[in-house]
Amino acid sequence: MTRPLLLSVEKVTKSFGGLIAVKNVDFQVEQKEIVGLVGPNGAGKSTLLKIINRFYRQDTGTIMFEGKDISRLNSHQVCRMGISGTAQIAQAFPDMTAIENVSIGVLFGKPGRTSVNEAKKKAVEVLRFVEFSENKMETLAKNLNIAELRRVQLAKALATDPKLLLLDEVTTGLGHLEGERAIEIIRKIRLRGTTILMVEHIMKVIMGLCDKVIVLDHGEKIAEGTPKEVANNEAVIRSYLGESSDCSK
Amino acid sequence: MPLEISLSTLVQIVIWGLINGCIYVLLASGLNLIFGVMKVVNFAHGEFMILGGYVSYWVSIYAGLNPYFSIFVSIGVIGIVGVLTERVCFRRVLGTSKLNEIVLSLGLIYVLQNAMSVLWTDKERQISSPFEFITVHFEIININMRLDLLIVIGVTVLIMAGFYILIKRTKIGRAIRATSQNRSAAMLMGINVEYMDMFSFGLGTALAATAGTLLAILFPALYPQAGAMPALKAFTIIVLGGLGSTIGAIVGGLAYGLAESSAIAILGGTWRDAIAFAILILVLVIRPTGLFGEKEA
Repeated sequence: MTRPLLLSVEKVTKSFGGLIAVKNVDFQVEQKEIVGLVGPNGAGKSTLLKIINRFYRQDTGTIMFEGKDISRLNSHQVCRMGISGTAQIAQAFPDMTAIENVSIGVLFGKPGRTSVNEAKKKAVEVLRFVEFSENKMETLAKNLNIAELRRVQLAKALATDPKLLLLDEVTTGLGHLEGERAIEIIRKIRLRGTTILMVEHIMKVIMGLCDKVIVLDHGEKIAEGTPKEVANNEAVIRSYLGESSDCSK
Repeated sequence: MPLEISLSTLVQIVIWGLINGCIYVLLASGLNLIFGVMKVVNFAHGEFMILGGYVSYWVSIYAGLNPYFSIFVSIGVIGIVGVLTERVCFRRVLGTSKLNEIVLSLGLIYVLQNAMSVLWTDKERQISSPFEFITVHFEIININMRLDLLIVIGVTVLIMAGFYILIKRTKIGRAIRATSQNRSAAMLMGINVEYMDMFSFGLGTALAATAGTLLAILFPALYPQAGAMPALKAFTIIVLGGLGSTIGAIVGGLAYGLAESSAIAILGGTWRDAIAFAILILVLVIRPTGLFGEKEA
């Protein structure tokens, strides 16, 4: 199964002060693939996502997106090229309504001109897609709860029409039911053909969703393969899954 | 000290309060915009205001342009000076340390003041208005008013209305608001935040230039050091109105203008400047987030 390559991370290293967060990591994401990035806390998963969306600069290494070198670009540039995502702590514009928040993504996150009114319409559409409650559309983001903010954040990312969607722990902090619904929405996004690179620590989520899993530990890639292969990989079991219990979580 | 205030005195207080308020609103809105987007306090804001006044002064003398139209030239020139200042000075130190930003803007005060002294000397100047000797009589309240005062209020209303629409209704206004509310989220949503810094700084200093021009039309108050006190008051006003709040800057500016003119009428001119900081301290003690500011979550 070979599909055209969308993203290629080559020998990327990043350190903060003396601490190496990501060390010489290589991996590739093919088009329409859902790739899971797993590993224990502090393994460098979120850092890696933030290097891909250019929030951080890597120390060494290259990142190629659709065959173009993006290692020297800024966040707003790669966003317009089609890389967008959500952060672990939901980011929003507190004094704007849910619709306004999402319309920012429509207006600025993709190439081409959009009028303010068109953006508003598109924003409502995307908010409905992520099943955001109809009666909170005009609520200021600062008055939304965490689950609602997560949806707004996801809608913001989708509003930019991403080719590659980066998701950082979408289910963390959500209740069981909310988490299940979030996963359903990811399935819906996948059906649209969007490529997804997601960080997740709940193995069950990864197992059910991903085509490929990459395991990081202490900033290094220790395994890569289908969810099944990875779950049976000894190095992974030792470093991440622990004894046995997490597998069934 | 007369405690009884006649109606005409009261009207005078209100009119002068509004006039000074207009200058403060323009100055504070620009300062607020820059602070909102860049989280930098531009202490040299008053110097941009005076520089704007001098540009209008030159344009009205050498090009013979009506001073109210020279505002547009001044907006353009100071806007560009602001953009360059951001690009060349502030961008370099932004995010390195708060102290660097403060030292830089304090340094700019003296560089600009000295440059203005060289170009225009320290003489107090005024831009002469073609309507200088025209007064309007209001029958009902029995008062004569310089036409210029009315024009200044009108110009301020127009400019602030334009500014408000720009911020609230346009695409770039949305980008400005997004950047000031959450810089990193804005960046990740495709907004070029460095461009927003440049644009906001230019727009902020252009608003200051308008204030400087109007001030110099009304009073012989154009000299290189004249910007220091108004800038300090504008800073007070944005703290008063709540940092980052556009409405706060407008209401704060007018309220401050009125408080100042009342203080002059009731307590005497000596108290003009002390009142600013008395109010600031009072508000900070009672409501530390400013009148329109957010409560800490």
